[in-house]
Amino acid sequence: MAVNPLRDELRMHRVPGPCAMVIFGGQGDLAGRKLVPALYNLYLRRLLPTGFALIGIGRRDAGGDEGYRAEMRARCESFSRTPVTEVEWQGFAAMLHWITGNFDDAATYAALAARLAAADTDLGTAGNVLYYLSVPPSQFPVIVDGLGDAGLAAETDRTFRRVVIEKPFGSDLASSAALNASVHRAFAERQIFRIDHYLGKESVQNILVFRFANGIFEPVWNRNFIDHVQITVAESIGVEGRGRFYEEAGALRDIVQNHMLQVLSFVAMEPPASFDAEAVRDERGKALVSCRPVRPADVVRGQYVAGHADGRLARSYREEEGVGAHSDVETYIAMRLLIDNWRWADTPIYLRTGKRLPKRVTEVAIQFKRVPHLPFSYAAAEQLEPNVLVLRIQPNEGISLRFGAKVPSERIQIRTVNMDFQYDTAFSSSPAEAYETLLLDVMRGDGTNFPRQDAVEESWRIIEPLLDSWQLQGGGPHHYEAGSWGPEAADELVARDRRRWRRP
Amino acid sequence: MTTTPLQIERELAALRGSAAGEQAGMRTHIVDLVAFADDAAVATACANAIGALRHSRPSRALVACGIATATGVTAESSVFCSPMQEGGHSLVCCELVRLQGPSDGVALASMAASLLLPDLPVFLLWLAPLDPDETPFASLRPLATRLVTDSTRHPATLDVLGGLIAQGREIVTDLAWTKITGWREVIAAIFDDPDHAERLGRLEQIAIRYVRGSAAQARLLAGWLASSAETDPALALDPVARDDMRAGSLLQVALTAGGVRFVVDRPEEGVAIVDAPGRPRRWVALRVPPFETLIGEELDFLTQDHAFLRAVAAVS
Ligand SMILES: NC(=O)c1ccc[n+]([C@@H]2O[C@H](COP(=O)([O-])OP(=O)(O)OC[C@H]3O[C@@H](n4cnc5c(N)ncnc54)[C@H](OP(=O)(O)O)[C@@H]3O)[C@@H](O)[C@H]2O)c1
Repeated sequence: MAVNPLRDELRMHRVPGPCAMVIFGGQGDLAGRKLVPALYNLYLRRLLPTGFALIGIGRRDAGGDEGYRAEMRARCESFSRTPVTEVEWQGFAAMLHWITGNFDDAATYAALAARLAAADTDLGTAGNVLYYLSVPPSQFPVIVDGLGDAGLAAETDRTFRRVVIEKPFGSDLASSAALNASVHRAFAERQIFRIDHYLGKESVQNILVFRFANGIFEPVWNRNFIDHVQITVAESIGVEGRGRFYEEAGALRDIVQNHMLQVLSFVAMEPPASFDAEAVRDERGKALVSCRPVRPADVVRGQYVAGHADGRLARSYREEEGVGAHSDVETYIAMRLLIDNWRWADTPIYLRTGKRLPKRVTEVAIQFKRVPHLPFSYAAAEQLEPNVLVLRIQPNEGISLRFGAKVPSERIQIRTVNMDFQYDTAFSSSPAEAYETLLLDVMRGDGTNFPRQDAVEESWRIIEPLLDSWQLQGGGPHHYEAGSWGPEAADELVARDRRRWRRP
Repeated sequence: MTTTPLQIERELAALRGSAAGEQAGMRTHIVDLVAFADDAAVATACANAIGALRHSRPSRALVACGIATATGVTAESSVFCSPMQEGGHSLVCCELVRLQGPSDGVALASMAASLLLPDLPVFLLWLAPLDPDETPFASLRPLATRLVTDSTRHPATLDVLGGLIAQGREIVTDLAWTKITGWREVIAAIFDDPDHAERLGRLEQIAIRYVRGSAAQARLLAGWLASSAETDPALALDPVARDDMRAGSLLQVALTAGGVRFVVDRPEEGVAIVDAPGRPRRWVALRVPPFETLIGEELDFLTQDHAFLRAVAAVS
């Protein structure tokens, strides 16, 4: 389609073409906390398509369209990053609709087909539909089959049908492949968008710009200059009422398999030939292919016991609601990974993530090798640490570089100092919520920030030896106090290599 | 008492130290901002807006004000520090220096030149009537990489911008243009519709109703549309009195193109209603951002805005 000449300029955003969005599980936690508030903010930013409808579906009666609108207004009032005002809400609410129905009932899909046809006529959605499966994964095959049988998954030359699924994408390699096969019963790979909200974060996307738009970093971004990499995803909260879910997942499945390995793929990938979705995803996929499966000996699991976190006494994981009294599920995991390629051979990548750690922080720290020779006295350089480049993903998105500087005095005394760049202070717009970015991407059909099935399967392959070994040996996790930086065994894991964890 | 750049630098360093206290005060250097006003109240409003910028604060902002009775330059320095988001230990500091000096601006310009942080783009925000050949503009202009004017406040500015742009010395925009970005998005969306897209080339009439006081926003919007059409559309600008909206704000845009009529109406701040033939009536969010957001938006651009240049050319 020809570009609208009025949009061919600096300030205008690319607004996606008309479409309807259907949220299965429209009253659920994710829909009310993230999805609908994200859509409301897109409306305020005038980034929703001109023809747009939002249709929520679930088994509980929401009280018709009006009831659903009122419920979503309350959610937006609590969770939207921009305050809800009457006049703006009214314009948005007119696009919201509700259908009550069970996902295994053909009548639900008949009602949906009728509602979509009405949206085409009344709201100009032009036959394009995006299905968001905001439901437990057990419901994915049911809904996909329901859509397929009703003929609602088929595209035409002029219209699209896309489906968005949320993690977890399986619980191991086999179940991930099975889940994928079930979604493929009605949708082709190009119609499927797997959400990993980390990939919608500005600071993750900026890793590519930082690496490939600057001349000075890429030449040193390899084993010749980098000593090792540490990726940390620390949370200060516990499982917060999601105990039952967490018992099924654990830190490895909840964080490492998806978010951390995806972030790693950005850090480790080769330069893509272009910023085209497939070119970027090919390179990220290759980085994961080169990762060696993790050896159980290179992993430390932990589980928090009672301790002080955020200045308060926090109970142990086993005392959390929905958690078994003898649970061995890990709430912390640290591991050492190796990538077998020319860029990274023998450069360890350390990953750690945990709940009830001292603070909430996600960062990638690139630690460089020490200089080959220091022409200063030992006393002068005693406090000098290696250069570290830190890419902070949350909070305080930004970049900092640690380097040595002379302490002002008549003698030579070197100290390590920090040079900081902070996103928030540099640009006028506050970063959009990851879900706003990702929903726009799906509407535009841009898959760059969504893991493809090959990447999902590669990441299961990397951690598969752990799942096997835990199943066979049933080794319990080490305990660590809530509010600490994890079990001592994790310090020993890196100390083996004569390294230590950063304190973020 | 008149001052020197060295005194100001010392004062700022002391202020930074005491504002940040034990915590590290840091600055992210993106731009230098120099604002010039010919009226103390406008200068104060501008300084307040810069202090209110949540993001994109210039590392150093110089707000200069010309005073007819002044004999030398006086300065008042302040430092705003705010914590870096949640729980961080560092503070981010922005320096603001208010300068007053003789209204010819020569002394103010020399003071500004020595206070700019090195190697950063300089934004010159011009909040006074603009006469390109006269001081103080002529003395401050050489500092600027980017000039931002405000023709909503000074409508005659729009008529001299064309000449300035033709000289090609700096990147130019106007806050009246920044204010109508939302309107332009709403109008552009009408022509995203494949059934209406080709009508844009056949624009016959543009009718704009706006709040009496300044025609700058209405003229720029009309210029923008006219420069995108292949025809020479008729133009009707209709000022009306309204107390509930700011002078110059747009109220309604009606377009006749390819024989059909499109209307965007803004009954109140926050919403616009779009009527296009054969399409359901649509409500869209449309709120003109506050002054500090407009400045913030401009500070993000460092390249020439060609759509703006075409719009100015069309109204000149
Ligand atoms: N919440 C998050 O922050 C988050 C983060 C990452 C990923 N996810 C993923 O997002 C998806 C949704 O999560 P959620 O937290 O929103 O879950 P949730 O609060 O349990 O919501 C699920 C929704 O689906 C409905 N539902 C479940 N089974 C159904 C059935 N058999 N028939 C009809 N409706 C059914 C539920 O209706 P009822 O209310 O009637 O049960 C509810 O509205 C899950 O795949 C989850 O893993 C969520």
